[in-house]
Amino acid sequence: MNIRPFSKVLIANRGEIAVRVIRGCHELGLQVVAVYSEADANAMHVRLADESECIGKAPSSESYLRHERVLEVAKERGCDAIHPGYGFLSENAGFAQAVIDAGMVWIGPPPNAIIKMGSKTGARQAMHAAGVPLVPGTLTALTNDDELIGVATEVGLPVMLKASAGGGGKGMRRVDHLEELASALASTKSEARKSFGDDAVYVEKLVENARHVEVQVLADGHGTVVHLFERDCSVQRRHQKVIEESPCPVLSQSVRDAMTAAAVRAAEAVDYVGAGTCEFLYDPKTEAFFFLEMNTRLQVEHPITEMITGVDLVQAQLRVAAGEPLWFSQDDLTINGHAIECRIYAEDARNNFRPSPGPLRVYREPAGPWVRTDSGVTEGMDVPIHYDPMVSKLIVWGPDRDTAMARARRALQDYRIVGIPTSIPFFLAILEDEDFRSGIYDTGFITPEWLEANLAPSDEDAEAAAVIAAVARFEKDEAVQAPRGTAVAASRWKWSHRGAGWGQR
Amino acid sequence: MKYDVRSSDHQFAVSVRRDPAGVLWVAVGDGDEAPFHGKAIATGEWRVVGETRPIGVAVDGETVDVTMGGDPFRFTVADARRAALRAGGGASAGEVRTPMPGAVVRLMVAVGDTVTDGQPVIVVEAMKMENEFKAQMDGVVTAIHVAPGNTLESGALLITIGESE
Repeated sequence: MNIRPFSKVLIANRGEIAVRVIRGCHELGLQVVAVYSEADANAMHVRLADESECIGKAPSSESYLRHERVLEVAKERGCDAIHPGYGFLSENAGFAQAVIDAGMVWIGPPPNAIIKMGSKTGARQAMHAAGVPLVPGTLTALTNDDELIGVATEVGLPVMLKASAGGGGKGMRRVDHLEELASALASTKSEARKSFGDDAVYVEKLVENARHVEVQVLADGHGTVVHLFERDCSVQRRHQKVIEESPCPVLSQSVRDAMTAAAVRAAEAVDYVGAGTCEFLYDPKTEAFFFLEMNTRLQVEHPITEMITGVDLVQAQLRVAAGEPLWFSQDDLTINGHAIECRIYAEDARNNFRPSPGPLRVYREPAGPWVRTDSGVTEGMDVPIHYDPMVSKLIVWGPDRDTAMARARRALQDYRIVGIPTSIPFFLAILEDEDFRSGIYDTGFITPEWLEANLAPSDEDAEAAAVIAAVARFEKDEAVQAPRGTAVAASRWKWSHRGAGWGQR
Repeated sequence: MKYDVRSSDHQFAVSVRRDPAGVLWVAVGDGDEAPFHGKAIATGEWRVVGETRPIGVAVDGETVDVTMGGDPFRFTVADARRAALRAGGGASAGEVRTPMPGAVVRLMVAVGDTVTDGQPVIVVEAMKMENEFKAQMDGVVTAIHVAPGNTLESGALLITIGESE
């Protein structure tokens, strides 16, 4: 079967994910149009695309988020489909609808599914109805302080207050004491109003020492919904994922079966089509799991699922969007080996993860068996200050977890990045940590104390590096002086040679 | 050559020289001099005997980035004498000195003049370039130690500036 209702795809994104999608399109023989901001004129996604067009200034609000401009470019360039990547416009139901209304194919879930899962309270109601386990709390937005105090007393403190429109670690607040509830509700509401333009806030019990485990699903719109097993994303800092692995090292087969079945039910409940992810909190002590939210897009960490299942998720998105039924069934899918992803950021792990944009003066990636890098940068490029500071994703596969960890360590050390600090030392420290190595860790793994103990710069290394720096500078100074001598010698040689020539003439 | 090598949380005094046989010798602080066996093996990549981790190096003027096995260090590597002057180490902020040998071209202030931090006070010619030296504090010129035409040794004291009353 070869249904091809589209042949030219506009990619409404930048960085590594734009590059990833371009590669997927090219492998299916599809043409690609890239859009870019002034800061990205020389970016890799622009270089790889068949056509490209600048859509505005560096800040994303003036370029990548200008949905009308993106749509205009797609029409002018004769595109018949748009892939949104992740972030930016990917979960904007209005944009998805506008793409469809313009007669193009939206390579993503139906706008209605985005809307249903976009509201956290809406999603909780839909999931409750579908029999998907939820973190104890309210299904609707809180109306007053008394309701909050009542629910908090019932489920037990501590609790999390969450903005219904929130996500990505923003708009949440932990509350430990009853007397703090009222003021915490007021400030969470005010934050939610400012950040998301919607002050609806609900409450959930805080599940402590929980792991963040998510399930990848794929639905083809022809009635088939499959899951592609789980990813463990418990290693987080500031509620953001930094290292992910698949499969989860502590999930029993019975819990895996229950969790993946719940994810499939969740997707079915909102008539999902395409690739999506259901996030769960998993409590290893009680083996209970609770639905958190569904991400209605491709995720940053999708490659580890590709590595253990052999399914190309971008190709699946494209083929499903083109109207094809899935070419495999649930029974065809098995977990093969173990995969780990490290998100290498331009940030200084030693200085509270301060973003460190700047020039990649030396940039070389690791290679070798079962090592994959998904990146949007090249040597000599600047990591721009305007966007997510991700430089590269390292994805490794091994037949078992130990082999994958050893491979990850080797590959991390093979990166040659000079010019900006990156989170590579942070990953090397994680891979040496006993708790991580044993697989027993949770979302509270990275603490300020852990960072202090494991990332304190070694004075010995600093001294060795300082010596190398001084020698490098010394040799540079020598080199500056040397050509003068060489030049004199050369001209003298030329002169005598020429003189000899004249004399002979 | 002596270098002042600084990062945000470290500072080292490193001296480097090459002997006639081409061997590099380094010493850190008051430590003993030791031979340094290492070199660039590709653009930006170094190998150093005794260090198994890969080393990345990029030099941009005084800014030298070094990564050791992915561990990033950014140093400012300055001529130690110049760094001492800049930091006012040894000399006070009230002393205007020349970091290089040269000759006085002209004075831009007289004793008793009020000056502000960053104001050019004297012009010194060195390597066929005129260099303006600046006051490094607000104050009053209390002494001028040189006159136009004077030849200068590196580090020579040119002008003294005192606190204003």
